[in-house]
Amino acid sequence: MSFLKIERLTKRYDHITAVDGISLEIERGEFISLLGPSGCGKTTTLQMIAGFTDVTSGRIVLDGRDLAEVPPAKRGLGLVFQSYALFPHMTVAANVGFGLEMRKVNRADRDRRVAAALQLVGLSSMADRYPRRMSGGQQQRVALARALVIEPNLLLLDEPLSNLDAKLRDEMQGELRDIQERTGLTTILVTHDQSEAMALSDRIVVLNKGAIEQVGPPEAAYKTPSSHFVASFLGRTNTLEGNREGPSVSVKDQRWTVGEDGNSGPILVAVRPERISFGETGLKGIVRKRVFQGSQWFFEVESEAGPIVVLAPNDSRRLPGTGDTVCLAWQAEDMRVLPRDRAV
Amino acid sequence: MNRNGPLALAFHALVVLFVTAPILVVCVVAFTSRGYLSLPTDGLSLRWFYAIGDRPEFLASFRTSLWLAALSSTIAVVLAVPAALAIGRLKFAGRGLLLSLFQSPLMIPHLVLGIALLRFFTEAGLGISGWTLVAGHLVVVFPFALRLILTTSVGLDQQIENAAVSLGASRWTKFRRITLPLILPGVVSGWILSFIQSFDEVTMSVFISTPHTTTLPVRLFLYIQDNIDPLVASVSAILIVLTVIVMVVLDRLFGMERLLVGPGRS
Amino acid sequence: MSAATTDTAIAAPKSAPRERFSATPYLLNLPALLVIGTLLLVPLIMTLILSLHSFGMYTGVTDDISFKNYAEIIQDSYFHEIFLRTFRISLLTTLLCALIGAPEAYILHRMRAPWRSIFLLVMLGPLLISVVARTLGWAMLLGSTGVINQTLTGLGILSAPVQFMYTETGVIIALAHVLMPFMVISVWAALQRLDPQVENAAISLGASPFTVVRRVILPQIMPGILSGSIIVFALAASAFATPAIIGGRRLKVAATLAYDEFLSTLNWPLGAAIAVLLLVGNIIIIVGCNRLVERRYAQVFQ
Ligand SMILES: Nc1ncnc2c1ncn2[C@@H]1O[C@H](COP(=O)(O)OP(=O)(O)O)[C@@H](O)[C@H]1O
Ligand SMILES: [Mg+2]
Repeated sequence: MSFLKIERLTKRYDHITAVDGISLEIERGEFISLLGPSGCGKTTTLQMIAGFTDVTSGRIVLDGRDLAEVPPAKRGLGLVFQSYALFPHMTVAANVGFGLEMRKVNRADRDRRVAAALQLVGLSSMADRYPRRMSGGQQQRVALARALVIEPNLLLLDEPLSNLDAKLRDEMQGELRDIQERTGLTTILVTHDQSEAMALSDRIVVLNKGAIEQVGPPEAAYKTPSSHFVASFLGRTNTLEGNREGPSVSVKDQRWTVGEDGNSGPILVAVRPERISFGETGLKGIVRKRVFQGSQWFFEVESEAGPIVVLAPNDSRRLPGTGDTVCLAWQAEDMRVLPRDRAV
Repeated sequence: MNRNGPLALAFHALVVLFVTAPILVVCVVAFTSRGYLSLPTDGLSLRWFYAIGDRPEFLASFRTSLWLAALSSTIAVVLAVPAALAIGRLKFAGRGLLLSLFQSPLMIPHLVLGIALLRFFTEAGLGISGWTLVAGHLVVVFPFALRLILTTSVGLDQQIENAAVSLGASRWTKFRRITLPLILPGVVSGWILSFIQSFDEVTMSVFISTPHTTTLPVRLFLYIQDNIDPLVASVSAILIVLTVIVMVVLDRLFGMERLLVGPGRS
Repeated sequence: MSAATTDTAIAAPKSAPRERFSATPYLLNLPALLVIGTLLLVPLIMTLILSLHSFGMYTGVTDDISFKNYAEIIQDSYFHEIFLRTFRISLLTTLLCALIGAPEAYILHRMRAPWRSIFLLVMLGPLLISVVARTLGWAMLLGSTGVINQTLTGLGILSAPVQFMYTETGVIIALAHVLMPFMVISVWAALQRLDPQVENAAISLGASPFTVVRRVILPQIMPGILSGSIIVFALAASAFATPAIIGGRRLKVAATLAYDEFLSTLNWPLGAAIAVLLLVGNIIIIVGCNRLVERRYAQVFQ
């Protein structure tokens, strides 16, 4: 039996369905990301688990207990809010110690555990500061320490890194993963940033309009997206119109043999930009734009099958220039064949 | 910001003179040595300040006014805090209606309130006492307390309270440890504005005062009705100086603009 | 004097934590509702009923119901004169406040850092000083042996003192002083909403300072001037202490009339009828004019 079980969870507001029948099982110790564009119902899902939003229908079972019967204050979850929601009138130590105080932990134990939690997030020297006078990254870590110190059974993180700048975000991602691995805490991370979800999680849950599009490990979701939405949301993808005849797939005059057999007819082909290479033969096109991006080059090619984006590693290989005529090639296993009607 | 031209500054000087002249003249006349209203042209005298000592009713009224203001604004704040938390943060049927009702004393002439309360208390057989004054002042100051507490409670981040609950805080603990400290600036400024409104109220109080519970403004008003002599000038001068001190302190603490105009954009 | 400062309309919260029916908001409002409701609505209704009773010199207040008091007020020219005077005083006071307060607010708005807040305090501070004390100042300035008359006769400008006390002019001057802060607050709030760049844009297009004020600033702060005028007019029409001190017993306005009926003549029903008329007039002016202003300037308020 899984640790957290969500069954057909639904939340309807007056006119819209924010969460539409989500079912999900999460194992103890797992790191799960809820990934989707803004407004797809991530926060609502998290708030229902935490108990701050009423459930319209469906069930949430945590460790064998139906959460409907547990008031929010008694659920024992660790929450990190997008806005951090630190208590502005309390010092860092008082913020972190608040949950222990509520649990009537005695003074000495409390001080010890607060110190340990602050140590964990690297803020030992800031115990007496007030949150307002700290940077975004520091506030984020206080919020994390406050959630961790109560030794929650489940950690819920709502876009905890979205207010940070890129460099700090990378740093905090590493720390988050470290801490989660060290504590073995079951964690649900809400994010709209696909690279963050990929970098951190054991499994990704892709949400769209309140419903689950795909659940799976990051590599699988990236390599074998189950829909056009997932493919385009999980990083840049070229989607091309093509045709299928049994095991053979064609785009313009190019033809690939994919393993499995399928219905014949018009299809969509999804190829990641970094999977495409410039070759002697392949789909013909003209380079319209070439941008240096540090470790790689970015190309926009106007091809027979429409515009295609290509990412080429910045190694010693000679690369085409703007206006050159090129041939684009990729392997059969690098492309995903999607039905045309699934296009969003 | 651009500078004002000489014409504008001249206009400004006249307006400042207009605004300050009657206040200054009270303070100056209070120092006269003569027995009638006049400028102290032949030296300053404290004669009329000592004269207040012979009139214990002024001191008694001052005490009444302080007690009355403290009591009515405290009750107003106690009633306004839960109301403001509900109106400012929850959606419910009748919310607009309640807010209109609570703000309506601002639209009602104090004279009408005085008459209505006098009728109410005599008719209800309660008679007129110190408590009727407290009740009347409560009605008058409640909108001010509510408004200032509302502005802080509207801006309160719901997630901060949710964070406390998720850490195990009960409703009461959440209120005492998180909500109340966060709306405290509004509560304090609301109390102070209520206090000042109550302390200065005269029109309604004239109707529901008794000889034993006459507030200072009412006492002054009734005294002036008979005759204007330097004694009322010295009492008023003390009142003005006290108010100015409070004003400067308030301006330092909260900013007069925030208190009287409402929270601006900056 | 109440400080009916710009009442803040509180927008409905965007997201309520719970949308299922909950008794919590009602329980939270209950204490205030009980207290304010009882102390406000019941007395007002009782006053309305009182105004329908009649009064006899020997019988006192009787329990019959009629519109006799209202009929008396409508028919008697004595009351007409007083209500007309109240209206005239309020209108001129409002005009004076607008003519002084609006330009002053604009001048304050253009001032530099320390002066701006210092003079804002000077302009708004009197609001906190007892209205009796402020009116007393005017009585001392305006009296026949008052400072203004003494100065003017002393300088030889006047041969005999001018009577300001017990005149409408005196009441208007003192009321304008008492109510001026409300106009400044209202116009100041409107000025705060202005985009400072708009003024610069007009200047860059070649507008003279006067044109900027007339064509750019004034239209935008007009709603502020109008809502300030509504507040000042309503407060002037129901003002009591200032007309009572400056106007004395001789120059009656509606409020002092009601006071006399209530506490001197002891004709409570007639006093109540005057109070009811005052209240209704006040509400019509405030609500009605606010509607008009809002409709006219809907796009400025948005
Ligand atoms: N209290 C509410 N009332 C009405 N609609 C809401 C409320 N809260 C959220 N929504 C709507 O529900 C949808 C999902 O919101 P949310 O869960 O916050 O999205 P996300 O966190 O994925 O950006 C949005 O369309 C949002 O507008
Ligand atoms: Mg969200």
